[in-house]
Amino acid sequence: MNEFLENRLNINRRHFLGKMTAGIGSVALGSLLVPDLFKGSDDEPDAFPLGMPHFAPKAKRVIYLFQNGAPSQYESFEYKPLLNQRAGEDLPASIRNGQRLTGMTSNQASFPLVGSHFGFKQYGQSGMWFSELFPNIATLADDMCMIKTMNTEAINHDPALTFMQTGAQQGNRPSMGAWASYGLGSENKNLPAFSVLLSRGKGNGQGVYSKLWTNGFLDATHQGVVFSSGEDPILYLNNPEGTDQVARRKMLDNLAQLNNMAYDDFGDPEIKAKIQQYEMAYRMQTAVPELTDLSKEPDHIIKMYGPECLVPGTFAANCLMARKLSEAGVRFVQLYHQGWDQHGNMVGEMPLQAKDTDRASTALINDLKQRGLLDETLVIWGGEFGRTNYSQGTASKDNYGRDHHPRAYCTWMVGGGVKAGTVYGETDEFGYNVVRDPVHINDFHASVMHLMGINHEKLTFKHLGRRYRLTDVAGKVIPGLIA
Amino acid sequence: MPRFQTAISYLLLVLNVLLLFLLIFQEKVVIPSWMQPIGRLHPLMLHLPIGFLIVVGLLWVFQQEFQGESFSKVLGFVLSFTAFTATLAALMGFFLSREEGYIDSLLDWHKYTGIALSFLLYGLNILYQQTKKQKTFFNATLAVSILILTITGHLGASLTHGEDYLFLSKNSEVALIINEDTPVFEAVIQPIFKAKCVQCHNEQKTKGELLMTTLSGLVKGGKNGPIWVAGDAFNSHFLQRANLPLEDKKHMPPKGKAQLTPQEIGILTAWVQSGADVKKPIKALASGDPIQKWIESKNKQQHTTARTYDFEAASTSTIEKLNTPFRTIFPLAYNSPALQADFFVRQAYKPEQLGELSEIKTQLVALNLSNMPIKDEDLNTIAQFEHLEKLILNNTNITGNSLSALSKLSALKSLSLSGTKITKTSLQSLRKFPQLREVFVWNTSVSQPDIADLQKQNKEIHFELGYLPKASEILKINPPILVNEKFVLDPQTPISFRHPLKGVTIRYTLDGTIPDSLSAPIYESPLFLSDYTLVKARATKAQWYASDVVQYAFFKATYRPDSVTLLSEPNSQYKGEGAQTLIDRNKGEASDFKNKAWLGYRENPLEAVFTFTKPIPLKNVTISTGINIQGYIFPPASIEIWGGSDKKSLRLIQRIIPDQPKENQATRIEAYQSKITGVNYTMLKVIVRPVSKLPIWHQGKGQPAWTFVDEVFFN
Repeated sequence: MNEFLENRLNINRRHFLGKMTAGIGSVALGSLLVPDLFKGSDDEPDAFPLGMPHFAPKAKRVIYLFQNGAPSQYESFEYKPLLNQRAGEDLPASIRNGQRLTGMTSNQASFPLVGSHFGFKQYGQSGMWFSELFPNIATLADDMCMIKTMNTEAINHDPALTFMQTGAQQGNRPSMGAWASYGLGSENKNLPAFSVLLSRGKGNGQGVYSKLWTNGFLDATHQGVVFSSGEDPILYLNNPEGTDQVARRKMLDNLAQLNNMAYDDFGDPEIKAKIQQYEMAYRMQTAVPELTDLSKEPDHIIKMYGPECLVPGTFAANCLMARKLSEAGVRFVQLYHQGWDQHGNMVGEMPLQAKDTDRASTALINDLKQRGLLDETLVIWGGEFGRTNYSQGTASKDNYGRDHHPRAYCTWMVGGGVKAGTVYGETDEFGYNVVRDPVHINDFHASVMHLMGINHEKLTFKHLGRRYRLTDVAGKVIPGLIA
Repeated sequence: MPRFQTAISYLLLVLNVLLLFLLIFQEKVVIPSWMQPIGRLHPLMLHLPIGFLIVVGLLWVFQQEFQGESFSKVLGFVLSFTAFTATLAALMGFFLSREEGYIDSLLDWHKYTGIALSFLLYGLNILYQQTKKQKTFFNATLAVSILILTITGHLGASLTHGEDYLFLSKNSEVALIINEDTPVFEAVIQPIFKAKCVQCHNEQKTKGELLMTTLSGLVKGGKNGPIWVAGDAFNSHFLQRANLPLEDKKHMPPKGKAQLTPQEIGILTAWVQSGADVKKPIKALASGDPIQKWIESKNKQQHTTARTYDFEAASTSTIEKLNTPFRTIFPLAYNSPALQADFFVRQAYKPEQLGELSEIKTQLVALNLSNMPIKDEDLNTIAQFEHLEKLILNNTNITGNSLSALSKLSALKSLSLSGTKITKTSLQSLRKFPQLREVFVWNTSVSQPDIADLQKQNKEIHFELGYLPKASEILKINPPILVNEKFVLDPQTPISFRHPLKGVTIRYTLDGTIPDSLSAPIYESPLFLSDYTLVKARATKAQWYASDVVQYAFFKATYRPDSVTLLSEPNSQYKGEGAQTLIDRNKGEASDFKNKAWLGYRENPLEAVFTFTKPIPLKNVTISTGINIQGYIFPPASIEIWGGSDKKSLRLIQRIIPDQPKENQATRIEAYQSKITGVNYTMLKVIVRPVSKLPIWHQGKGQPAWTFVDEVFFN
């Protein structure tokens, strides 16, 4: 009983203090210290209401095909014949230019350049280069905006992944999808606005952790919901035996009453979030079976994505699910495909990883296109950093590996208002440094948010006494990426 | 003090006479250049009389608070200083007024009120010195002085900060909405002038007689004539001045003010060079024009969009009312009247939900009805959404017969009909759609030649047929899926397979041979097995390669030993649930050897003793093992089965030597069976020996292999 009493006293004290700080005196003082306080112009960070775009978006939804572990740009989209010509030569110090290395190669006596084992060809009217491992993705050349100059500060997976997903390396900030959910709200109230799908390839893998799809300091409703890779994408969604829909409804109504009473007592916003989550789970009971239903799909959709799409937990199955989720109005679908960390055995593993993703990624994009959804859905494909142009360990004729490289790597985007058929940015002949138009992760985030109709400087959340944004204190929209 | 008062009275008299003199002969007065700095100190000096006069007023009002003789002296002292500084300020102001660039009427009023104030305060000073008792007259004069002070101050501020300085806030400036019809001049050129030039070239302060706030002022030019020559940037005066070195006195904007950026100079130059057309709209710019590029990049940075709608917004309450979890309606963007509506969850759809949208029929620009049971007649309802630009009807029940109803939608640009029953004939009515540019017809009866025909009739419309399977491309189908989760046979639960794809044939064998795709038995209904069986199955389908073979071992378990003990310890990482692991009928999976269902041995053999309380007529003993070649888990080197009635009487019944792999093999479960005839045992001992040295072809050659056992069955 004492706690309840104290709780009430606390609220009173808080109210009192709250009133005081909101008092006329402080407002007047505040207006002297901050002359713009009453200006009411659009310079105010919170001037836009939440739950709608700040301006007309090009992309209503995003599907992020995250290639976890950092796919090598030299075996995929970055054609650097110089590396084949000068294979075995040491990386010139003038090119490395003091770049810090990971513990895995920093003790290496030499850094022998190594070119792609796989051939390259030009595709489409844009003449983009693709390696022979990605024949399907290559057909998208004229729909694609290929960024050659993505760059980051991190050189190890965990901070780099976290940076890519949350805009900071430390791992306490909301993920991109959580920001999108917070800023734009949910299109379909029956499914989580931020959905996460995981798959594991055959190559050397790196873990993914729930901090990558966290809501951070945002409300818990914006957290990414991981879909299970088993037969049931969402566990425990069916009513237990003996409970019918009516009984379930009644139970939830009564539970909501109890929760509301608790909310009146404690005022904890997490309680409200909980009530909403229960309601959404109830509606998901009808929405999710439609997601898993393949009866509306013709047989050849399986051929399109490849038969692996029938095996739950594969990248192909996740691509098909991503299309269904996105079609059903899920704002941000985040896939992670593991297995791209080729420190060694590039020649063995890269084709397997490419095979896992090439057909299904392409199918996803073509599937959106044939439904008239590609112009409003942004699909992103890329990892957390690039790989070195020299071999980790000795490079033999048939095999080599590549270490982590943060200064330049490739990421491509299709649909959702990106400038199609363009290669953005350029690296030097070694592929090591950016020579033109760099795209830092913060800039990338700013541009993606711009495509979604969000001004990245205006979508903020006040936490620990200051306003945070996905791009925090940096980032600028890159017009060259936008149609 | 009297001496000071006398001195200052004379000084005041002299200065005020000078002021009067200057006022009368102001037309003839020429200020020598060395005196100009004095005039420019006016903004500094003017604050002194303002402050002093306020102090005088306050002292006068609160005089009862003070006692003693010295109060009137202090007041007199402050008053004389007020008058003195006011006169100085007025004189300086007069000098300053001789400089050019101010609006005459405003300046005149400020000048006269300022000089009047100076005279008034001189009078007030005399009044105070001479008639300290006549309070009423003094009061009145003081009040008038303060009033005049206020007016003068306001006029002065209007001169320097603009006439609307007091009430103008940034809010009241109407933001210019830029769209493609906005003239380039208004969208780009004027904002640059506004940011960098008008501070000195405005209505109040018109330096060089150049007024840059209005178009007429710009066209007229300054005292040097027009500032630009259309089509000739090189000879345009303002650009010449902008391009002078910063140190040059004629450089514009002057040193110390915000400078034009190189890009801005570039834009201004391009605009003058292209004819300085003040009416040319943005849309008339050639693509690639530097001004057009500038607008584009500005737009992107400022997050503006060109699309605007001129219809009224729907009320928030209407939108809220129409929003349900299964029908969401939201504005395209903040402050946009245009709305989008999406329907979700087919099961929750009710026919009246579409009609209810007529409340927002003007505002609706995008409508997504994917997967909803929309019928042909519903298209008449949709036809009332007059501003609809994008309509998605994928996987709805429409047949296309009433598509022409949509021709009323004069703004419709994009129509998605994938997965519907539309036909080529029904698509022909799309000819009448004025704005239609793209139609999506994937997964319909419409074929490639149909599209070619339609395309001929409607050159403006792009028909998207989407993915068509290539007959030449044959893929391998994925294997059948076992429904059963338990691998210990149970008479009630037969073995069943399924396949997620329709039209698949599953073929299987029970004898350990590989099922071929032509003659192996076809799986039609669940299989009842009576003994240990290795089931192998594969899926086949026309136009597909047959799947890989999957195999599952099913075990029969008739007798359960009453106790089991391990004579040798398993490896500490794979201890399972101890000895019970072998008889708990919990089968392990080959994909997960870390599971507690497994016991793992490497350095020493598995030795286990099973006892039954009464003799059992055993027919066989089956030992289930796991194999993962790359994981160093090999078939056992040997398996021994011993039987007897107690420990001492155990005799070797059978020794099995499994075949060792010659190369990498699939990860799987493999069982070994030992037949027993005629003897009833109460105690059995099983010894399973791991391979002591991996073969030379294996990556771990020479090292000991692992052996994993999950279960021993007695039948």
